[in-house]
Amino acid sequence: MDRKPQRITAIAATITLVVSACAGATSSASPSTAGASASTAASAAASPSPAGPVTLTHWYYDFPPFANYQKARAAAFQTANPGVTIKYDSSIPPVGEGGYEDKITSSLATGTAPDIFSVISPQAPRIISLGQLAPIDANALTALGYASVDALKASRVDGAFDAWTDAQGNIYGIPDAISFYNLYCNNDQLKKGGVDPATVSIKTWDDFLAMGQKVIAGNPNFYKNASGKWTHNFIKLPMYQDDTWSMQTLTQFLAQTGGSVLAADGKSSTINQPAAVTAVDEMMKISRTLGDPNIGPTVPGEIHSAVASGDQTCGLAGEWFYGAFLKPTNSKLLGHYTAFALPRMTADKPGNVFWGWSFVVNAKSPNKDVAWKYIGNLTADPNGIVQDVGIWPPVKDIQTLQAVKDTPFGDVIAANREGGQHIFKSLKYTDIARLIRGQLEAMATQGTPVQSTLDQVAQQINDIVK
Amino acid sequence: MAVDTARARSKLLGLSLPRRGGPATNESTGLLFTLPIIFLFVAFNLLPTVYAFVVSLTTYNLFTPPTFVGFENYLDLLGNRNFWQAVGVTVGYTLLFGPASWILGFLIAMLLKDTIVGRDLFRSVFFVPTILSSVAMAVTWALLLRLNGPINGVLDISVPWLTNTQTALLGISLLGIWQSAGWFMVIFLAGLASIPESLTEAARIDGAGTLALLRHITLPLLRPVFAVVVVQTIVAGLRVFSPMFIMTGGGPANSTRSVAMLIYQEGLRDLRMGSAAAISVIGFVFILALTVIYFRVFRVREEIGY
Amino acid sequence: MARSKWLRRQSTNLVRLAVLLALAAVTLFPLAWIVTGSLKPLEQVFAIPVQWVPDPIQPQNYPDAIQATDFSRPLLNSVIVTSSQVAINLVLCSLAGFGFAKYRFRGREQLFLGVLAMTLLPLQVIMIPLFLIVKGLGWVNTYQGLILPTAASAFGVFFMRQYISTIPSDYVDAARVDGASELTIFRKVVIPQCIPALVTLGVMVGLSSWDEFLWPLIVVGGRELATAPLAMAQLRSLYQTPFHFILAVAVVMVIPPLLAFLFAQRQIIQSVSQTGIK
Repeated sequence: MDRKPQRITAIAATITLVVSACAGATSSASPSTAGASASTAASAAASPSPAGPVTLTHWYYDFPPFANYQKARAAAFQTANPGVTIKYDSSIPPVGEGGYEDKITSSLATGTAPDIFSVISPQAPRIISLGQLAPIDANALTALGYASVDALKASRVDGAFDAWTDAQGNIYGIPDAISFYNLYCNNDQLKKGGVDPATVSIKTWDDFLAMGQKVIAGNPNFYKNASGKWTHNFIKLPMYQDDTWSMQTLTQFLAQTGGSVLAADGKSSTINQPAAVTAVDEMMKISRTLGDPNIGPTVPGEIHSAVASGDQTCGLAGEWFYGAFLKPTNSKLLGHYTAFALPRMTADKPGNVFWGWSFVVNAKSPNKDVAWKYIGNLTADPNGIVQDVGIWPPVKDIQTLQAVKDTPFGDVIAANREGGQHIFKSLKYTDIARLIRGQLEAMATQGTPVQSTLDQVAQQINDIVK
Repeated sequence: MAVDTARARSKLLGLSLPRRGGPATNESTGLLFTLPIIFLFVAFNLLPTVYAFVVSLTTYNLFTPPTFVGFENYLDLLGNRNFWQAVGVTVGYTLLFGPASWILGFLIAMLLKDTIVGRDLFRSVFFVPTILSSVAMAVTWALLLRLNGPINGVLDISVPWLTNTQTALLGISLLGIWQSAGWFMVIFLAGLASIPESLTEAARIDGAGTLALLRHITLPLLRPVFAVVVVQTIVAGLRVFSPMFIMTGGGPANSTRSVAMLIYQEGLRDLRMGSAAAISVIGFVFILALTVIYFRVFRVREEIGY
Repeated sequence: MARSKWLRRQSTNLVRLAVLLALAAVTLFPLAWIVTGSLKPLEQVFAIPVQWVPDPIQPQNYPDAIQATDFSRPLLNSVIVTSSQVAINLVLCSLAGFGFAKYRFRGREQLFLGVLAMTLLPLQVIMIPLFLIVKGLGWVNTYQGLILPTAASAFGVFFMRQYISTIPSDYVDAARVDGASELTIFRKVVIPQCIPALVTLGVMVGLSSWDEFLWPLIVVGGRELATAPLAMAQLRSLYQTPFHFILAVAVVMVIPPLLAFLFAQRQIIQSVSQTGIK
């Protein structure tokens, strides 16, 4: 559901598989130079194999680039550790948005959960609260190849473990990535509308709005038909039909205005306070003046595909857009796009959203140590992950990774991490997100008034969290 | 159903007469033969209905043991806007897809009643949508109903069928109509065939026009068929799940979340088993009432010949 | 007089035909779009006006779509589930139908009415407790959990009972006089006469079983057990499958029910028209 759903041709998938298989094979022999401390895990992977045959089940959600990478790593791990079998399943039904989380939860309840699976950051508090995840204890640290919790934390950027840490300070997951938004635009379409992507300066969302209106006015036949109806969007925000995408988009704007969904104590909603209203107002302005949210793709993955195929001019997407959407599909956008510094509400205040998935271990797993060792191996080669998958692991100094240097606009993208915040934390995240998403959709597609809608939403959230 | 009731009944009646003579049989062997499937019904239909009521009196999230809360879940539902919205969606869907497909089905049945070129082919064409995989159809209809999709394209309109709270339920109902009109057509055709030719001939000789014939002969005689159709429609409305789940995910803003989908989300997504069970029990009581009425109205006991 | 009557009838027939043709066109429109779309290059799928003849025609979409969506395992699972449920009902429904039709045990009437009442009970109102029961049995994410709980067809029992009632009891009695056991009578006397009914029952159960979505959604945990409807629905979420592939997979999914319809059209329509009795 989250990250980068997209279209992957069979050929591209095969290539990814081959490439990552090579990466997997080489990295355990010669750990990558970057992400120095993380690489110790890779060498641990090849060390003593556990006694007796061990079978680990591993569930992942349906994101082919990373799934293929993981499959290759799993194969390499099995070779390096005779007696270990990894049963990997990367497309867990059921379906529909949130389907993966639902199935994880119910499988935990029925005792059919796998040994290893992934949890997305905003869902972490709720899943941790079920008491079914194994905390990273001393044994886990050894298996992962770290001397202490501090060493583990020091191996990643500050705050990388926040979403997966409970009130007692226990850590439950190894994040595979901390993703964040970037603005990507199609150069050809900007030029057709009379805007030069190389020289245009976009500091704020209002600058972006002005640019969009100029491009639409300069190339009206592309965006609207003879009777004035929209046929293509200049931009459609990735916030429809999926709760977490919706919260990501909202959080990015909230981070820039200083607004929030919940008050600091988590006991009431602040979504109808001025800072939040300003953020939502801007989202609606962008959505309704630079396109028609009723047309075009709906689920976020389709929206990214639309940008990659040139059906939509600009799009908000994670840092993985190049690696997951453009490169493997050989998109016609390759070499024809610009990644901009993320526009701001006010030029001097940076703000962005952080989200990402973490590998976690089932507390009921009889082979937790092997599982952690395997996770350590999965995350041991940040450069390989950037190169083969496109997502950016939360390692320090990511700009020094060769794969980031090879990513077009890598420096612009890296700078966009500034001011990032995680999506709000609440045990009632699912209920709140679903509620807000529905109303964001209504405001965007039907133009229902922002302030009064948010007043109602705040009231309903208060009922949920009280 | 009224088809050949008379014939069937006489046949059944003949069979249910006590057997005279014949070799002695161990009649309880019959019970033995029915037991395997009865066992499945008890284990997977009857037991769950009872169990639903038990669970509905608790709060239970699968992880911590259930706690007894009496009728609290039911009381909570009274004030739960999600519940009432789902009831509204279910009723709305039933009213949107039901009457429209009855009328279409009836119209087609009237047109196909008498011999016409390609009668069987037409009947097959109208019936085929009812048997196609409903999931595959939901997925593809979501594409058909896009704003820039072929339905809007052919009609030269731009209705945001599935992305607008005002039209999403209507959009889903279009699929419902398409998939059930043929079903009702078949039922109406059977009903129409059961009306004796002599009756309509006599009325025609008396000078009755087509409309008068419809009003005074056909419709009244079809009354039991209409009742069947209404019951089937109500049950179909209460069952509706996959079109919403797939085409809109219940959105936008829950405007297409049916009762069945709410039960699923409450129970298997949010792990509020008690609350989900309470909604189920309400649905069950509703179905039970419907069944009792149905059995009464149709004298099912006589129908089956006991 | 006769001639003008004939003329009038012909003209009303023409009107009837015209209306029928229009309605048939509306009915077939979505199917035509789906089928032609499944053979198009991606960029022609949403062309307006609709491009009814793909250019070029791409039958290669089908193998590509099955491969890209990894659809063969779900298809296989659906075949397993459907054929198991058909087999279960063929045996158990005819057995029970025989019991209800030809024996006069105590409580027969009540039991049969009880079975009839099940026809109106939708899975939707028992899915939660049923899930809890299946969880208790440890059957979540297993074939038996996927197949057994929704297998039994109450309509099937009713249907077989009605059919077997029409077989003269003399046959049964004659076999009994010859000393055949009750089970032998069922196998050698009743079943051979039930073949047409069994065909209808098999097709009806098969159709609904192939279509089942909610129960697999609840009980299936991993891709290994996913049925075709689950995998189909999944195409609309998560990572994006190209539209012409979605359409191709949809066509693949409707082929089995279509074949069943072609094969047993008369029986299907007949049993639908009898659903009034249920």
